[in-house]
Amino acid sequence: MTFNSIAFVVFFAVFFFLYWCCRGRYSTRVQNILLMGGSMLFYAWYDWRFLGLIYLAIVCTFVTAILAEKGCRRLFTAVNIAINLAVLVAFKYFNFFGENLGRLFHLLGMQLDMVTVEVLLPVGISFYTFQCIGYSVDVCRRKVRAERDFVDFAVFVSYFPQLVAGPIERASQLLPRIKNARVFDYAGIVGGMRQALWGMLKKVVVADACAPHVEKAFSWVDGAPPSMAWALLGTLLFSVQIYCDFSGYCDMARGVSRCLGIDLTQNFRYPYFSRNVKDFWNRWNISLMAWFREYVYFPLGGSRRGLARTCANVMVVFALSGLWHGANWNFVLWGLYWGVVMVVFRLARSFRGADAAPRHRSAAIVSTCALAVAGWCMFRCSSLSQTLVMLRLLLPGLAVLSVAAWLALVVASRLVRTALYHRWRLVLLCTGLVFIALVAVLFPVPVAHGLLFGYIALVFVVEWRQRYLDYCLASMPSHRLLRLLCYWGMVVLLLVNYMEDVPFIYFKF
Amino acid sequence: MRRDLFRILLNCLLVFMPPLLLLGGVYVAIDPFRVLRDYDVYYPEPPVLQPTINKGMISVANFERGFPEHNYNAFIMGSSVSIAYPVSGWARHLPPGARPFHFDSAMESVHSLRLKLEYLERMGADISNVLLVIPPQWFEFADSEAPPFVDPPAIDTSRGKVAYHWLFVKGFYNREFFKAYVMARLMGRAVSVGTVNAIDPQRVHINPLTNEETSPVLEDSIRYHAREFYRLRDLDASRGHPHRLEPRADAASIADLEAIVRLLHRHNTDYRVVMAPVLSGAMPAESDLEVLRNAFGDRFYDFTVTMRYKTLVDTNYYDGIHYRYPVALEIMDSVYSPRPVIK
Repeated sequence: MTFNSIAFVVFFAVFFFLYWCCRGRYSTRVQNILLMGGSMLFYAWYDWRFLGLIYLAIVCTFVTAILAEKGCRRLFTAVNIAINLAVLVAFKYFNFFGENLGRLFHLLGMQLDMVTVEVLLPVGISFYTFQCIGYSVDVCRRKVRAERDFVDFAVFVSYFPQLVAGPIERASQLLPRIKNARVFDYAGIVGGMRQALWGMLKKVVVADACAPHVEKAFSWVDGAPPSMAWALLGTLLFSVQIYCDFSGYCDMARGVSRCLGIDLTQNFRYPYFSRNVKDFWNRWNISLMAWFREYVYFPLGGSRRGLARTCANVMVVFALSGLWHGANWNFVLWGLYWGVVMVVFRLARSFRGADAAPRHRSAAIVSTCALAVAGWCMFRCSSLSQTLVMLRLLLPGLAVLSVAAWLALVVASRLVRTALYHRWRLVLLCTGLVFIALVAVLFPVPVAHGLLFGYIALVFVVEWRQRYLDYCLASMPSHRLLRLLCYWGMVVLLLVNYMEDVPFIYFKF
Repeated sequence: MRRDLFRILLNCLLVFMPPLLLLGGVYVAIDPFRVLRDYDVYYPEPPVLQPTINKGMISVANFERGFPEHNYNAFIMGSSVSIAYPVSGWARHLPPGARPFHFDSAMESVHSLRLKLEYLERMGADISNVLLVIPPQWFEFADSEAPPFVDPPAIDTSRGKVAYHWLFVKGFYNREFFKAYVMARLMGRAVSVGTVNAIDPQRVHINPLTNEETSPVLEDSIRYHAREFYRLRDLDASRGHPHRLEPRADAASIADLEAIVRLLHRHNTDYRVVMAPVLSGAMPAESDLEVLRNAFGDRFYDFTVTMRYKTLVDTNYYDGIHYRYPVALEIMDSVYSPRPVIK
């Protein structure tokens, strides 16, 4: 059951009313039991066979945490981490490690016959495994107390809004919200619905529409590679697709959760408006990077053991984060690429001074985006050889496009600023609308084919305007009719672009 | 809280209902696939811009309209390749009193054929004669949920009317289709959508009595401007060397075939199953042929090899798959002669 399916809409509508109809002294308890049951149903909808796997992780983590609190903290924590990682490796990395071990032995002149197993990847395994490990370590470090209530703990791990693609929640943040009584907050629920609607719009209208074009650009493996223009367009669209897909999911998850009176961590903070690569990783998949920082980077020594060790730690963290995304060398390459970029950035900043702000804001944003786009090219390719070919095709075009985009941004922002300074807001809006209408009338075919670019522009313009808010659409027109028109417009866009059950990209990680 | 819950429900209705009603209203008003109402003519003259209409649905509509009066008892069945078989041409080979009906549908699968025969049985039709026309790729055809191919609920009883119409609504508001439809309407010219559908003025005539599909415009084009016609269709690109397809007949297909044969035997049907060559040179796998022979015995006629020479003449074909009536007439003469001429 994905958020963008009709089954989920029906499920959630029923669940929502049942959930808030719980009243009285034991309402929180009943709500949590409902959440546990709802989460089980939600997960079983994908594949009921994997329900046992997630409950293995839950029971194991629950029991070992209680035992660790009583004594032998490190031992029980290590046992739990080993069990969780073993399951993750067995289902996600077994073939990858087996194949590469075989290759290594072959290089050394030895023969190793590893068995390859056709394993189905359980949805969301990387997310809930990391959440369990994080909880276990927090108990070991005495940052949180071991949870004694199984239902509450099961809800913490299997809470359906964030179960299959995060955000990866910390026990210190989510568990108290699960344990505390929820307050029916009308404004909060309306906000949650708006956020979910916006997330759905990003997923259905933009991400799903980009998918076929991206597929066209990247589907070749041994055949003829695409042209330079297609490689550039395909990679740019993939950058948009993965952002709208994943952040759309996170918006829906947070929105749905907010409707249930439980706030989830913000996982995306408009990453394509970042001014440097560090800023980018503070805004992209925030919960995953926070997890790696807390449970890998800091234990390795963080930035306290000299520059060289810091750089090595950064490389390790990014390589692991690449591997977390999938059992493929491409993901490792992508992680190493970001490691190198981050190390270079850190070195440059240590020479230039940490507080030096970029002189040209738009240039900083464009260059950060260009680095991210190059990274997404590696991420999307299916083999190393394909990556090399695609990068060779992509990089010259990307460099030229970055300069052009920077110039366009500078000119456009000057024009807009001048117009706003002279209070020409209405004139500007009308000119824009007339221009769009003229182009649509004069060139109907390219405009129809280019609708996707219009949707992309719409999403990014709205996000840019609301970039300082907690979530998009947190601020809507105050006039009721205008607000209603906006909603109707979004619903119509959703309905005419809806393709049934297109899975989210991050479900396979 | 109860008041707030009610307020949320009302607001949700206010936000979602008007767009849903608007889009639903547009669909009902346009009825793009012509499935909501009964139509005397599915392809009007002069032709209008419209998507491909579900031929299976037209066949059922024409059958149910004509059956009470004409009591059809002879049926040409199969996928779109069967349009080459004129009812009048077939009638020559039928016993006196036969009332033929062309009961075809697009990309008819084995399962779909079984359902269709069961439908005829339910309707109380006397299935005395059947000419089943199958393409070499028959086993590759799977039951589809796309608007041009989905079986109507009268035939596929497992799918309710609501589910059936929902498929068409989804098909209409499919991103690619809807965009193409709006573009076609705005610009007034044909637009293709993917490989299986097009929105164009289709110059097709369907005889409501026999459900026979003809295209006089197409025939005239071939008759008078054959070279130009085939150049535009790039017929040469469809040509290929003779080759066997991958085996595709699975247990489900075999079970369906057995059910079909049982039903035909139950009705003492005089049936023939024919398969003609296609330009691509594709021929069924030997194992699939064996399955067909086991099921239909000597009533199965495979012309993919013996009539291969027909592919050398462009005018025997409309495109890579669909052959024309001269080929069909020769096949019928062959299979209905006391001793088949070519087999």
